[in-house]
Amino acid sequence: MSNTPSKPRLWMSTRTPAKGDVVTVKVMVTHPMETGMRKNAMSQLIPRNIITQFECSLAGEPLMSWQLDTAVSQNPYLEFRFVAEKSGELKMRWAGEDGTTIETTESITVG
Amino acid sequence: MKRLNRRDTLKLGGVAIAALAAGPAFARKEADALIAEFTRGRKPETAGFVLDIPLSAENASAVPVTLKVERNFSAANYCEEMLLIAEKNPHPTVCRFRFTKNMGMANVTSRIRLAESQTVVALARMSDGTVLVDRKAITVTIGGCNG
Repeated sequence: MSNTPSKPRLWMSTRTPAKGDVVTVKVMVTHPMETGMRKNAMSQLIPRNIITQFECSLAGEPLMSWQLDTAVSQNPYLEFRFVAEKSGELKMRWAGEDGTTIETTESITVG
Repeated sequence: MKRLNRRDTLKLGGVAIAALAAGPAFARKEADALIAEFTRGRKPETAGFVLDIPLSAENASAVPVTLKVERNFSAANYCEEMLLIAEKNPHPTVCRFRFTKNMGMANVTSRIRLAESQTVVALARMSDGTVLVDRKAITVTIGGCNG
């Protein structure tokens, strides 16, 4: 796995919600989530390498975090919902055990 | 190195069988410890919390799961943490979610791996200390850890 991860695939129900609306975010990153229990064709264990942490903030204030273990599938997928209260940058960041970090930002304008 | 005689071999076999038998009990214990740590002595309630997972998984390496709290949220009382446990997986902790009051709700979906058929447990803790639980049994035909 290279250390230059691809951009996350992201879908949002809206970027211009009315105050109090529910915003749905669906997001997926490319990552093998190697459990450390699999063997390669030479019967050697493939070293563990997973994404361990996801964090999301809106307008500089934390919204949620997600702590992942080996049981989260390859190419971790997350769908979350929140109530739109304020405009700002929705920042998402993934961190992996091998030092990989993936970041993406979306703008939300509450009307 | 001393060569193993027949008696030693039998003893070793006995130890191996005991270790195999202890495996599931150990996983159970780990899951129980996780639940105890999460609930902080509160008796979990079942109303207003849903773990949504299929009855059976065709692809156990990507089983969709949804955890949602169906209760009224306020700045004073919101869901602060969720924990998903699959006790028959090599690592019973699947994942944890932590939320701030800025979320206004707690509804998340992901895809997980399951090693075998089992009962998956989801827990949620509100900021006032109330603990919510839901459990769902799921049948797995081919495990999702070697795929």
